[in-house]
Amino acid sequence: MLLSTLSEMKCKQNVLKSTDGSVEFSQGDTVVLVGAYGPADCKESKQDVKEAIVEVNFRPKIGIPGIAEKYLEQFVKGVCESCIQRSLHPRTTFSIIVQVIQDRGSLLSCAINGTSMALQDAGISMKFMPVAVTVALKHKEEVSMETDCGTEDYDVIFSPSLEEEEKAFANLTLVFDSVKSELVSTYASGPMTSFQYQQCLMSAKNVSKSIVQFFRDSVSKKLAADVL
Amino acid sequence: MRTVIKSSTGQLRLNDKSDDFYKLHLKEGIRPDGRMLMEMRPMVLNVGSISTASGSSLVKVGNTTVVCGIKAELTEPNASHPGKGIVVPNVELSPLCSPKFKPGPPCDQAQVVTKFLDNLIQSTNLICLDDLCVENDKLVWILYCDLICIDYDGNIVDASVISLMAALQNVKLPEVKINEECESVEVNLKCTATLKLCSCPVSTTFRVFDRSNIIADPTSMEEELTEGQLTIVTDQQGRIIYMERPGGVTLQEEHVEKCMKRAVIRGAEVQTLYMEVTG
Amino acid sequence: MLLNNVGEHIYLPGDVINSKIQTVCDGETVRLGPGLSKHNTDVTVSKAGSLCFGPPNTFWIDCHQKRYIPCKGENVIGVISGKQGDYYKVDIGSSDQALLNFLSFEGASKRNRPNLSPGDVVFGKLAIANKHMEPEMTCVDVNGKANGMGLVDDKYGILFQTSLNLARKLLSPDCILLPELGSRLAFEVIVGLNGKIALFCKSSAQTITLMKLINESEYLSNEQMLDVLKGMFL
Repeated sequence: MLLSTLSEMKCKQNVLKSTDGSVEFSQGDTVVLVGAYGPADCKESKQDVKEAIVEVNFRPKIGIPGIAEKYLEQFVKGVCESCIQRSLHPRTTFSIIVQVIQDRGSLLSCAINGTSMALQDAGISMKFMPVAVTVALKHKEEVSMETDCGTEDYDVIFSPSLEEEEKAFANLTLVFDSVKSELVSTYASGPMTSFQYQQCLMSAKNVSKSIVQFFRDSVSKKLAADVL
Repeated sequence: MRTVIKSSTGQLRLNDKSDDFYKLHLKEGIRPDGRMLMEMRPMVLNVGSISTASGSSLVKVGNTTVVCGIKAELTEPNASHPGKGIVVPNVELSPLCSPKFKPGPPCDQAQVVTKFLDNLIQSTNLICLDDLCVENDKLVWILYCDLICIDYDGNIVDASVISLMAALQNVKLPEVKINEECESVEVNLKCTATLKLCSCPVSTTFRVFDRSNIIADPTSMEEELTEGQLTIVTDQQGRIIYMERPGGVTLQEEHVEKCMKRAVIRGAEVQTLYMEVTG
Repeated sequence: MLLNNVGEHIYLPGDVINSKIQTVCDGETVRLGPGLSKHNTDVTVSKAGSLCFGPPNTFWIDCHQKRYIPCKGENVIGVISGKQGDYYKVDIGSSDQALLNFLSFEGASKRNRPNLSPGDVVFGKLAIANKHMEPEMTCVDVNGKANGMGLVDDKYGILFQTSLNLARKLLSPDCILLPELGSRLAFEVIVGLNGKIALFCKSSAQTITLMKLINESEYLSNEQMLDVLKGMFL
């Protein structure tokens, strides 16, 4: 089993003036711009007396959002709902706007990592920072297609490009928490055995630690300028 | 038309919606409706009930009722895929099935389930789209799969997948010929063929209560008490072909593994149900 | 006073800092400030930033933030947005608008009500602030005196929004910007902890220059500020 390395990540924080928190996040060639507001005013009809609600708006590069965006939205929303300390701000809204700037594969993980940094940039209280890894499983070229139950006959590609996603027999996106590296959210498609899934889970978990380190470095770079 | 009733457990009606009430039950390892934590609700599956549709099915998972009707029409293919047929799923959650849903454009949940089914069809090569082609670049079948929820009591995803699959297995397409001389389409309604399905997925949905208790096949009340669900779709070989968990409490690996095992068992159960119904 | 940065380490949400606290003050009662919370026996970080410590045994996380979350006793600047019963509604930049009672002004009585209209700027203190209620402002101190609070009625000034960090930095006794500016130029400034700053100078040109200077000082150290000031006033 061959493990590739993560594609390069870049993160520019506080890029928009009027949002509470904003980040331009890129993973390889995939770029998203995420803005976060919160805790903000909430319509009375939507208010929850116990905790804050989360609204996510996923905007495609061109055109108006369709059901594909709605589908990705639910992942970002679910992850935000589990990481934000919502009970601290009852009757309020956190709204997150994810604007896709360029999609060259691994969009979901890029959007979630970007959201994670945007929430952090807005100074929103969180239980942990979500960390997302996209993995593609690809058959080794020289091995025949029939033996996909073995352990060693496929490659694991982290942050795959669109082409790699297309060629892969299975694509997974796994979201971990930054503290205990437990699974927060997962998306997987393509035939795979549960053993393969577990293996991917473990290797993605290891990779997620390096992303946490990247988050840490980005935050310290931002704060270095901030010291009195 | 055949009807199979999977199993029957005495269902307890529930009035209390509080967390504590539920926790008391979980402590005893049982759920308020009398099920074990990993037990599914009894299922009713009925196919071919809509005679005007090309294929149809009605599924009851507990109280959740979904009707799926498939209408096959002939159309011009997509320019990007001239040799492939088109399958369009659509899930409707109307105010009829639950007060949660308001009239008007489809709600978020309906769109998400629709996209889920679409992803499932696309990513697993469920239907051999080449078979739906009548004449390359000229004429293909388009299957409109409309799923309507009649009664919503949680776990719409599982019910939708089962109903879609049963309806697809029920689809009968008439023989179509293109008369080259007068360039007209001739449909022979007497000679029909069933659709060839490349795989037969079954989805199983779980929810996590209080970090440690995993419950399978949640009711709508259980959905309100918990955050984020885990849906695992398996095929005949027991492989995982689709999996989603959009968020919620964090999961440990052993929980995921436990759910996967349960999903495989459930998959086999439902496969036999498909067999019994479609013959 | 800031005994800044307990170590150079940056903390992310979810990090547990028990050991750090023990090394600084073992066995003593500790106060947890913003960005820190206690879960069972663990002290966990909820905001990304650097850990700060100040006497008496207080820890907090210093993080960059723009959105104001009301806190009792803090001085804030708000803009009147309307009336509701016996209250003015005041926009202080938080999720809910703050309430300001007609009687919470110096010398106000049932007969003698203050006459404020939407758009007016007020400076006051938060008397009630908790997550379940709308915050309530007051423009009098415990003795019923204005003590500098109340309507900000200078017509020739500007109200602008900065990050909360900048507001805190300007108010910090360690920051030399405002005292140094004051020794060179006559102006009036009110800094609210909600990041709103009201600035009044003799001329509009001066006001705009100072506003830009204040905005840019966010990432400057004291020495850098002095350099800038020297450049400006020669």
